[in-house]
Amino acid sequence: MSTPLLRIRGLRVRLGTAQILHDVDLDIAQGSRHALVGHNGAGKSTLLHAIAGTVRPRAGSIMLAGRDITNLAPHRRARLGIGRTWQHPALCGSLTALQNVTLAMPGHDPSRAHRALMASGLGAHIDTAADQMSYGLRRRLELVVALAAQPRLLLLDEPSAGLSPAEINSLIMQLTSLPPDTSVVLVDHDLDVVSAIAHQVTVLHHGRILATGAAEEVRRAPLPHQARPRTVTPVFAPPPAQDRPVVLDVDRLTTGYHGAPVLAGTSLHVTAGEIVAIAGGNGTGKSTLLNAIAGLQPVQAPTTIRVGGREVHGLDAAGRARLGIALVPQDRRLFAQLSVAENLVVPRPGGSGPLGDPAALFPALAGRLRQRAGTLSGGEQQMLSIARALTTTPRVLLLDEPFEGLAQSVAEQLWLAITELARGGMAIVITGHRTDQMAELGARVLVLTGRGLSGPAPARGEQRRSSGPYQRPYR
Amino acid sequence: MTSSSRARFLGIPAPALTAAGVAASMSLPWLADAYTVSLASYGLVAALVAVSAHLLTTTVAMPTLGQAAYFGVGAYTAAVLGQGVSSGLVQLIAAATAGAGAAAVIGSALVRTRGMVFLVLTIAVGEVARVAAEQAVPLTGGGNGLAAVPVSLPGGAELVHDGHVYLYILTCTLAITGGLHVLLRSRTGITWRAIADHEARMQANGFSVHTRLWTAYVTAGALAGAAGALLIAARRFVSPTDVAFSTSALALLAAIIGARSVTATVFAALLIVGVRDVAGAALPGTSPLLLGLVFVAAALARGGRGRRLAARVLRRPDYPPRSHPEGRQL
Amino acid sequence: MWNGVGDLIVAIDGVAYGLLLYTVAAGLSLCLGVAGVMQLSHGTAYLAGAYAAWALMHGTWVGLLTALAAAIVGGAAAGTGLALLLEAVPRHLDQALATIGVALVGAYVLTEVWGAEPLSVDPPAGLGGSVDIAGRPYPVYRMVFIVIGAGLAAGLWLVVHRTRAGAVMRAVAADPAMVAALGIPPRRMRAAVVAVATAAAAAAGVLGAPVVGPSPGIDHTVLLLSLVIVVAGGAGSTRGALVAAMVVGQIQTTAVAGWPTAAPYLPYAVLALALLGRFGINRRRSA
Repeated sequence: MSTPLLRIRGLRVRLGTAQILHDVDLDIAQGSRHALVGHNGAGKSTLLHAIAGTVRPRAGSIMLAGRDITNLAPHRRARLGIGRTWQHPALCGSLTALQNVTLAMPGHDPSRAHRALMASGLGAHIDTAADQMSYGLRRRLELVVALAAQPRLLLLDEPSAGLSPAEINSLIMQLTSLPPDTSVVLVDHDLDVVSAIAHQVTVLHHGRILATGAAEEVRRAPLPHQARPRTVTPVFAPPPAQDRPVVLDVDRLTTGYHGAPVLAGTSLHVTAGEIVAIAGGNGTGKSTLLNAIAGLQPVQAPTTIRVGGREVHGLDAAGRARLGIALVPQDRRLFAQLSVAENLVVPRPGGSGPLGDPAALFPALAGRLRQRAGTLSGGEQQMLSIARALTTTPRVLLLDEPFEGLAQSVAEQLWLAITELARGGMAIVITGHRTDQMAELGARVLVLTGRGLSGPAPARGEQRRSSGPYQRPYR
Repeated sequence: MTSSSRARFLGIPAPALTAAGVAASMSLPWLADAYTVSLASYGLVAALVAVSAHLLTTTVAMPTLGQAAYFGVGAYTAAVLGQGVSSGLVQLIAAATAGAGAAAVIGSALVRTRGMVFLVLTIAVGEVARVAAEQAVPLTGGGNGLAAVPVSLPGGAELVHDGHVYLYILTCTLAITGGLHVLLRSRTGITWRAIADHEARMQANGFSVHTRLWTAYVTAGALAGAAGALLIAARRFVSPTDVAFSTSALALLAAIIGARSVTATVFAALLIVGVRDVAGAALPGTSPLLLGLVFVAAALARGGRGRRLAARVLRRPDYPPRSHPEGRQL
Repeated sequence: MWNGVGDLIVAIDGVAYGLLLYTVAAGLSLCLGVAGVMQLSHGTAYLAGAYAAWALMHGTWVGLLTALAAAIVGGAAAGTGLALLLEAVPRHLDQALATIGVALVGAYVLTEVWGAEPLSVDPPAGLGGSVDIAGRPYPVYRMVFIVIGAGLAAGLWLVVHRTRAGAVMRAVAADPAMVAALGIPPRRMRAAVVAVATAAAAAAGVLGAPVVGPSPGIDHTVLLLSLVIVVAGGAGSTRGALVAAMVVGQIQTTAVAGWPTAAPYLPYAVLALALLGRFGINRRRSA
């Protein structure tokens, strides 16, 4: 058996205070097409960064073709044959397509760069500056740039993000026609892309490898599930929507990153006391939707967002918060160095609103007021993030994947608290993977697919669409 | 690879404009009085310092407030050398080499930092150079400054007349900025711009970003050093005041106003020196006030424009997203 | 090497100087690290405060309090104005240009009003004399200044670590967008930080005037030392600024007494070592 092209042993990566990768072992064979899958925050991108050298590991080793590259700078790894793309196309914006590719060519030969551009169908854009190109073109150009040096190992970070179905098809064509000895490590949320390209699959879960092997085997393998949901008594009876006033009214929300559209005309109406659960695969824009409503993500025309009938256009995030929108963001975004009590007083003196002491809603926090937020357990951090949002006395509460990474019992406890809030008249929007359960418990489920919200959806049906073989174990 | 040949201003092709500008500036000694000519000489010196700041601030996107340090290194080198060697060309080369050498040592550490830390470190470098100029009395004459003899041309002719000095400085400035113009359009220059655009991409393309930025820093040091030699030719005198923070600040301002163009940077520097010295002479003592107002006005003009543009693109630009995958910005 | 009493006096001087630097630099650290604004006119506030002390103090207690009140009110007003200017130029580079301009204009105005000669300011009555430290005279005012400076440092620490305003500041330094999403308007927060920092620098100018008196150029010196302290201590960290200020103060006074030619360079050596140390730590952490 020959040595693999890439051999990773005991890789540990820490970013800030968070441990992102725990003792990862991974072999990538020469010519292998390898996909890394896992939910947001599982450490897929970080693993790519560690291989490329843009993130330094705390421990472990990375060998490329038998050579230890653990401590090599990124440009030295590039010279050894590692090419890569980023989540957002990484190009030199003021330079033309030809200049971008020429700089990536060994020997900086413009005529070879010219040929490469012609061959990839970008011939019409040779003299266009990269930042004048459409998002789809920039994605394609970036791939030409990454392939210019004929890398032995190509790292692709979400190459299909922001592309239209037609563009995704041509991407798949391009990737399947790569030279057979080029190894590819791919991270992508689009399961069609993954299953069309990858022969090997590695499942990452909270920074650990859950399973790795041939795509077919991994699909069939009995994987350690998170505890299956126990039966929960439905405690929440949603009020009839028409009896209640619409609190949050989002109409034709349109937004994107770096010119790539993420949401194009998404509409959403939530009445007082209602819980709306937003389902949808990774990368469909669930977080973007909530951030855009909260004012953390700029939107484009013809978006209108109303809270209690008032248009929020022209208000920054702070203005929207005072109008009654509260966000519990993904990853909680607590002020880790501040104590629990300090986190609660940041939005409002005294740390409590008319709802009473938010800490009272979560008795687990009451005894930990002086503890640093960063040292709380995951469940306690989630409770604190919700409690912190509640100090602004919101009318609309946006919860971005609040149950992520929580034990079932903790998730149930949170759900009880959330239904309690809805009963008090708050309009609640939740994103997450457990929407089937939430539907059973009385939430209205909407599905975000690619470009918009549809629904109310048959909760089971959407699960089948978004849960390909790779999503099951880590839902 | 660029469209410079097609660049126009008010409908006139850029090369024609440049030729007209060169002809006009060449005829200045016959058109203006001695004071204006010597002022123009100093303006060109300041312009060359501004061009060195342009290379760092605009080309590689690392704004600097320390180019006065290398300017001073060049000026003192030329002045000290001038006690034995009067050849202007030898002084110019020696000063550029000294500026490059100093930048090579300091730059090896500085190019590892970015943004605000880099800016503050360049301020520190400038301050250390000024203090050194004041303290190394045997070499620099300390606060009294250092006087130099007139420089001579390769033929041996001494440059005494203000008009001749001006033409010498103009020729050197044109040659140096012309050379830089070519360099910026070469592979080296494009690589610098590419690093400013997307450092991580260039690393992934196999470029050692530190080495390339170091090269840019050393080149900028050489340019500022050469400007130092021209200061000696123009004034035959250098003192720690020439190495002060205000020299670096003026260079940064001109580089920012000049934006992407070396030529515009030169004109911006000439304009700022003109405003400062001409108006300062008309209203004695007010030049710091005028210079200060120019700084504020320039910032407001740029800020206002940038802001309206950002507002149009983003609608509500308050806080950018937490990560900036592309480009550097200070 | 220990020179007994002489060294002790130098060390006490170092503490006084370090605390003076800290009072100015802490505000600048909050401007750069918390408010996220590039501020290169911070030294002007100190100089204005020192001139206010010269104009109003006249060696009396009433004068000291008047000057202090004037400096705090004037500093807060000027800081608010500066914050408005900085809101109009959101990019750091433009903010650097604008504040360089403000510093030039400020220096011009101060020189026009008070002249180009260095002035000396007498401490208030009763503090002008000296006390005996192991048989050597030591200026009383510097001892008092150490007490006041330590009080200011403690007060600032209490504000940053024990009040809601401080919690908001630390939260903004960590994640400004999240703070905005919790309803705190970032503009008002930035203006408040710049106003308080400017008022603190002006107050430091009043209190420090008998030690580092008003003269043209002091604004630049104070700004440079503050920048060194802020970058060495880490922008936004008041604790880092305190440590860096005490080190710079101590090294400066020691060098002035023992090795005067090296004194002007030493703050920059401290900065270089601090950055080297931090890079080293980062490399080890990430390696």
